[in-house]
Amino acid sequence: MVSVTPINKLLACLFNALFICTVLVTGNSFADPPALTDAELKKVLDFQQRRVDAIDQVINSVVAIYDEDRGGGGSGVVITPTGITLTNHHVIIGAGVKGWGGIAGDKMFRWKLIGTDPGGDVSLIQMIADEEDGDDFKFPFTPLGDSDVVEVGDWALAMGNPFILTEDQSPTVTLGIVSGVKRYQSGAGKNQLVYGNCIQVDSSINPGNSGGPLFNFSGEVIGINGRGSFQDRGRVNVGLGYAISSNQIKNFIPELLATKLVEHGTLDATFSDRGDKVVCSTLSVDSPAAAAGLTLGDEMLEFEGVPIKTANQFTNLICTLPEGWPARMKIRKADKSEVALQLRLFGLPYAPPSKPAPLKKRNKGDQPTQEEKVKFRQMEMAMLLSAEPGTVRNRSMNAQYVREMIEPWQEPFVSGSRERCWYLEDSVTGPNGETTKLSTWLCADGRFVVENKTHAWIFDGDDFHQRKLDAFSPIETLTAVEAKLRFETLQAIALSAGFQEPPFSVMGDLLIDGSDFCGQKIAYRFVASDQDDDPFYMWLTGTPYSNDPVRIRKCSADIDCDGGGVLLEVWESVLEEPFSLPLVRHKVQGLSEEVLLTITNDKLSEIPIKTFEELIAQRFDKKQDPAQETDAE
Amino acid sequence: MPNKLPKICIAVLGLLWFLYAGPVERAIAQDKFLPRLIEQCQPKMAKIVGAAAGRVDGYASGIVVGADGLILTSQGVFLDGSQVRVELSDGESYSATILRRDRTLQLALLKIEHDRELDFFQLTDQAIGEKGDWVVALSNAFKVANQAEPMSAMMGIISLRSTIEARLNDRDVAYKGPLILIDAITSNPGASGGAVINAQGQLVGMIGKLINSSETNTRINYAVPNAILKQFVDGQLPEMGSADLTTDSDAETSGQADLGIVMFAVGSPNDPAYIDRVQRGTPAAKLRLKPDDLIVAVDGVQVGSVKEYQKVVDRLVPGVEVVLVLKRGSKLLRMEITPQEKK
Repeated sequence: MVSVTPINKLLACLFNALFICTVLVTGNSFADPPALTDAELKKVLDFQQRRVDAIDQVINSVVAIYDEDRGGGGSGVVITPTGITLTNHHVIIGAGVKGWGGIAGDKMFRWKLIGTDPGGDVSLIQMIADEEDGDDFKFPFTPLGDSDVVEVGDWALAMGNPFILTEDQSPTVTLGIVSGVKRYQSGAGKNQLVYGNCIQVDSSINPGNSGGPLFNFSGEVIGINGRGSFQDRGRVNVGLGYAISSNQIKNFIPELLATKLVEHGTLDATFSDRGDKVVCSTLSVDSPAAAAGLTLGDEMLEFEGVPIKTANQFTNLICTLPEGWPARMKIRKADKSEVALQLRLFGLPYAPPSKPAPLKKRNKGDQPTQEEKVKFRQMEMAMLLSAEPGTVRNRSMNAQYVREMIEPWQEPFVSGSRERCWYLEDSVTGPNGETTKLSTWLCADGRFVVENKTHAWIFDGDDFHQRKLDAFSPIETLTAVEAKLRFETLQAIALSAGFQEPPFSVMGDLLIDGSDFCGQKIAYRFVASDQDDDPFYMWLTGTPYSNDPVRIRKCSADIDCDGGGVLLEVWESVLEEPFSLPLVRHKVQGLSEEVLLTITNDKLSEIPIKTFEELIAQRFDKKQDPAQETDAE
Repeated sequence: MPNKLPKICIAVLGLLWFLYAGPVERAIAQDKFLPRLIEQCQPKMAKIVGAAAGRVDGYASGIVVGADGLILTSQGVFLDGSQVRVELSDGESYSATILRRDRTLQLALLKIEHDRELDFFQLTDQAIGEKGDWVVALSNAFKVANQAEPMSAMMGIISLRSTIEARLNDRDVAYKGPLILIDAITSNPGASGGAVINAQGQLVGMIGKLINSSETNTRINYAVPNAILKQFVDGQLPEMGSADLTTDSDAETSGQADLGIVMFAVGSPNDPAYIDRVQRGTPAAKLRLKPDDLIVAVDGVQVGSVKEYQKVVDRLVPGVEVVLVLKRGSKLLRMEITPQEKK
């Protein structure tokens, strides 16, 4: 198999080089325009150097993906130093749930599937470092860039393993420009392999390039190359390649890290062009959209903050969002009133895979035949694709990513002495501006005491207690469910989370639940469940590998904060400690995070008391009336 | 018109800048040079939607060449329907009338009626662009863009300026005349009629009608030069119209002869030349040729495939007797046949 087109591009590059050489040597390759001045020549060479640098940055993070027998082939790109790698779902379909990944310099690593998104043709795999590479081995990686700023005419480089050409696992580089943005390429099968809002390039994309990165001159991944307009002339590049945008991928990464078979989102309603309006033309009566107030004939004005001009544009946008995404929209009703809606998207189902025929029995000890290996791989794949969409397939793998994300965040909290205590004096402001006081004693081991005018709430590391501050009321023990539903305790659990090992362990073991969006940012939604499967949710923004710092955004007992939740803001380093605390905490309600109460910090100091036991002894045992003690301070 | 002044200023400034700019490398080495260049040219592009015929798609690209709504595109079946529509870059759709078509150059000139002046590509007698120049091709290949969505952009260089010969009924080479070969892959469905521009935003040429070698399944990426487009739009082509199609001596009578044989049409043109059907009242019917007879040679030329058969028959002259060799069962039969005029 030989492709003509890469040669075309090579020639173009060669010509470019010759061109510059001519300019260099003769100083004047054109009769008409003046020759380059030294400054201009420097600019040209600098520009060229940027391209070379970008390639150098990316080249070692590109993976040649093979199956278990080192056959087949696709591409991928490592996006974290821990070896989390992006590829296409259709590459995984060929290669299976595990296999080999090659990196430039003839290095081979094992990989295994983390999660997959058949609808958007994206899969996340984990590259596994060899033991001999050492514990602190870091994979060369390329961060994801912002695909929303990509323009038609921007330079775009693709890397991968077209036609399985590589002998030493080093990828092939092709250069081109962005031919189109916000393109739509319809899918195959039931809701599968749809390329919505994708990037079209004339960089050569050939079979084997699938899953490899499309990147800019800053060395950032702007897309994952996955398909081309091949229908006319067999499967070779004809100048139209398509890449899944990096911003769509960002929306799906938390879902994929949760080890899910991910579905795409739908409003369960369709919109059509009517003149210059985009109106709701069909709607399921029992859909969440209808329940949220959407009716037939409503005009879509804005979706996810983007003004909607055509129905195609809406379809294009919704393709980039996973099931469960809290989509924001602005609609105009028949009476001309404009209404803002926010609701979680419904899942678009996939057709269940056809079951491969069962394997023939064979004697123990016989080596499996090639045919049996292929069949076994197909069975693994069928199992993967018949997983319940949206559920965690692999809890231990999911928990590993929780640790990878939480531990670096928690490090500054637990690196110092655990025998310290702090006192926080806060004001609680209500909806009408009325304020009350709230006092919190925070221990460096995660235990705390919170008091308002009438009550004290105590967390002793295992259980929650409530005590009325009227002289001698008995201490009641609260269940964890009661504690997470009460705002005073919930905000204190969130405030002290960094000191708890692991954070929120009192609510159960945290798992990544999926993608979410809050505070104008993509968030990881975590869930912890107790023995009764009663959930507790925590939202994290930022990732360990982006410039955006990791922050706890929100905690709630309800996925939509319907029963209220606490939103944490103004994470600031306090008293020159290495850790940050959320100095403002809001009681919020609903998906839109409507603020009901606000806690702001007035005073924060370390107190001479060292441990929780000392604190309790001082506050509740020695003194008869702790309320007076507070006043006296 | 007061609102035109800033436009003119920008144009003049732009022109001054380009005059000063010198080698294209200098321009390409600037961030966002190509995005701005492409953005400037998008309003001069049009999407052409017409009739589809079988597997031939009913769409193409077009370029605006006159402020009054002159649109240049390539010749094709999409122009043969009852209606041809032109979509401008703002998504507005207009019904177009066909002013002129040329089968040699495979060009067509359309006109739309609208109420404002359009941004257009300047046609010129000068040759724009030389070998090695960077070019950008704008087109709606594969109809990726709809309504107001911008055309696809590709980048390449001018590989060669040359000329190409065309023959009537030779489906591989539809275009005859001077052309500009480029290395951007523009030869795709729907791309013909697109613009090829240089780094100064000037029109180098128009993406020509698809030329595909049926033997190697390769295509050439080319543009019809600006100067030719100008001659066509001005109606100054010396050998325009259908008369031009008969200038080639070979072409004069070619394709006029008919034997009355219908070949087995399903499958590839490289399949053996088996007779599928014999038309009534034709030379083949008179000789009692039958379905499943295999044509081996015509007029002394060995025939290995349906395509080769067609090629030989196209060369025959009505009324001039030739020898036909065919295989029926295990027997080889030799007979004289006189082609008739094609109906």
